[in-house]
Amino acid sequence: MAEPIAMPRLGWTMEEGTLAEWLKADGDTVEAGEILFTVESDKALNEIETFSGGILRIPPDAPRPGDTVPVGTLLGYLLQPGEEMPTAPPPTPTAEPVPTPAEPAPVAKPKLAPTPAPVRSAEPTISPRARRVASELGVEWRLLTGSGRTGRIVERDIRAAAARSDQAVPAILTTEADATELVTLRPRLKVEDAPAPAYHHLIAKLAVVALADYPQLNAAGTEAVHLSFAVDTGDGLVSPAIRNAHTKNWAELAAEARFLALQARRRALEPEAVQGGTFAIANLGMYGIDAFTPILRPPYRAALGLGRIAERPAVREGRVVPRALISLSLTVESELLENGAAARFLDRLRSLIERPELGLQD
Amino acid sequence: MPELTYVEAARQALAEEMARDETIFVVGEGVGPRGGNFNTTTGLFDLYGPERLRDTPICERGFVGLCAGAAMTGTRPVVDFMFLDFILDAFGELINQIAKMQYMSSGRLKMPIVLRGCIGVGGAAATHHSGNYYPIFTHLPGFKVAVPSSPYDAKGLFKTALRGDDPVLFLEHKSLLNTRGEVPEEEYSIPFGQAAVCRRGAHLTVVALTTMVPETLQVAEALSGEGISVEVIDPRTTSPLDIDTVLESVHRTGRLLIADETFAPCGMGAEIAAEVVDRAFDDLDAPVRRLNGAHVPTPYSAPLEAAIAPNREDIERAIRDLMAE
Repeated sequence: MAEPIAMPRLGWTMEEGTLAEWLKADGDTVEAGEILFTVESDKALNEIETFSGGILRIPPDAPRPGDTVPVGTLLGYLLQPGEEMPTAPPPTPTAEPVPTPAEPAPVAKPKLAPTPAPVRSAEPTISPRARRVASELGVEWRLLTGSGRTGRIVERDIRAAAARSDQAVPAILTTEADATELVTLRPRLKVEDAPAPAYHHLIAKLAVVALADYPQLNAAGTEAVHLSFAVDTGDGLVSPAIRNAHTKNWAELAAEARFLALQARRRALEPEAVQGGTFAIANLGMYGIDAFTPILRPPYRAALGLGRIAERPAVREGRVVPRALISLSLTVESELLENGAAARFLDRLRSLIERPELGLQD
Repeated sequence: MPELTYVEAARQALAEEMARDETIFVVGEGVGPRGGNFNTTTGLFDLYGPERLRDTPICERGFVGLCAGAAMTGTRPVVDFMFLDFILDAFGELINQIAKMQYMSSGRLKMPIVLRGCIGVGGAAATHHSGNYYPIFTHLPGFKVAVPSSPYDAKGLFKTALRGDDPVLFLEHKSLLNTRGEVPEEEYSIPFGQAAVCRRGAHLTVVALTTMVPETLQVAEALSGEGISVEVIDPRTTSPLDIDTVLESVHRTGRLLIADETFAPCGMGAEIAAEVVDRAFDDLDAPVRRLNGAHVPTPYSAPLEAAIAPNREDIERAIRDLMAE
């Protein structure tokens, strides 16, 4: 193996040395114990012998006699017969200290200010163990409330959340809404340069309005609604979440949904963008799907599925009339079916879709 | 199984080994006819005579140096310091010669020497008779350090100390000397570097040292009535230190308290905590916590002495506090 020859350290304080002279030439065969070169250090000229034999090779870009270089700098190689000189020099040994600058850097006077308060992360704190267990059990911990001191999420919180989701057998509710007025209203909602909102943008806003009355359907029971919606990237679904959807009007929701969908298709979503959703909406209407039941995943407590809006015969006051109908389905934790919240929420959403001006005012 | 006191169990180990191996001899102040300040050699003078139970003047550095030489020439000295505090006068011999000689000689010289003494706070013995010191010896390469907490461990670990070829600090807490426990009649020894799981538990691990072991066991028993399940581990030797047993325990419990009578800075708790945080970070459900004596020389006054050493109430409070994290 090619053996590198480096600038040696010849004293406790030596950081660099001057290659004075090669006593062997490039290509010479040398024996252990022979003097290869001399080094000028602070006080003396030192003869450097080799402890191994071989063929001396000096790379063309190696330091030349007279050059002053840091300790550890590669000067040449000892090769065995048939060996090639390495093309890239081995890295300078990291153990060698960097030469200290001649002028010491000015020392700043230490500030005697108190230690600044730690920056609090927006995320709750979680113990390392709880984080590991959450990852093992697939629990989304960012919405949990920790029971540890200072609100830290600890293992028992994760296990309790996992137990809740294990017990939760999802229930499915479906209904049909008359979206005729929504269809009529949509073209009039175009603002400035923005494209007209999609139906599912408007229904998302109406769902957020309905959630205000039924916060039990929102994950963790919080007031803040982070609305997650599925985007087909052509390469699988991703579900970014619109933060604080309850504070946004329909135009803001539509703009943000378009932006996130575009980012998703470009694979440009920040990892945080797909975390922390509290209510999920999936829309398959654009594929001509009439109805489907969305999958409920922890920590969500409810997920809304939207089918296509299509003209269908409807019976109104004893007569069959054409109306634009949409199928709504809601997958919920069974508890929400049992306590009636899911049914009331879906009924409220249906009526909001049928009289959309009420929910789209702000 | 017969019950012995801690000091009887250790003395039995010494007597059995002296009978088995005539190169073992004991050196110290009052170890001869007097039988040792703490009865560590009671009755042995009658069995083995003045050649093997050597009373010395008060000159620790001198007789420790003599014993180092004796060990290098093939005998097995046991230096009995009575109060371990007196070992401090021999630190040059201990650290520069006894701990390093096997390394310096590339193993050609052995150093089979046992350095025993009583440690710990208690009995208003004041600061020159109350030191623990095992973190100091644990810090230094070349020593093995045994800190038994029960008669069974005292005998088993002393046997291992007397049969090995390395310098061993064998440290007996004063307040443990008269505690009783079962000691088998048949031959046994306890390897160094093997912690004992003294009590199984699920919620919290306490690594306890010397006298903290029996105290913690009492607290754990009391807390079990409330459904707090405490695991108690006694490392038994601090060098080598059995970290694996602690890691396995923390893997199950997620919470670790180290209860140690002696000082916190650079102590066993700091070492164990660093190892656990390094190697079992993802097992921790709470900060690692230490319970130590106050960082002061031990006061003579009995009420002040009681105030600076952890007791059962302190242990219970520390456990409850860590459970609340």
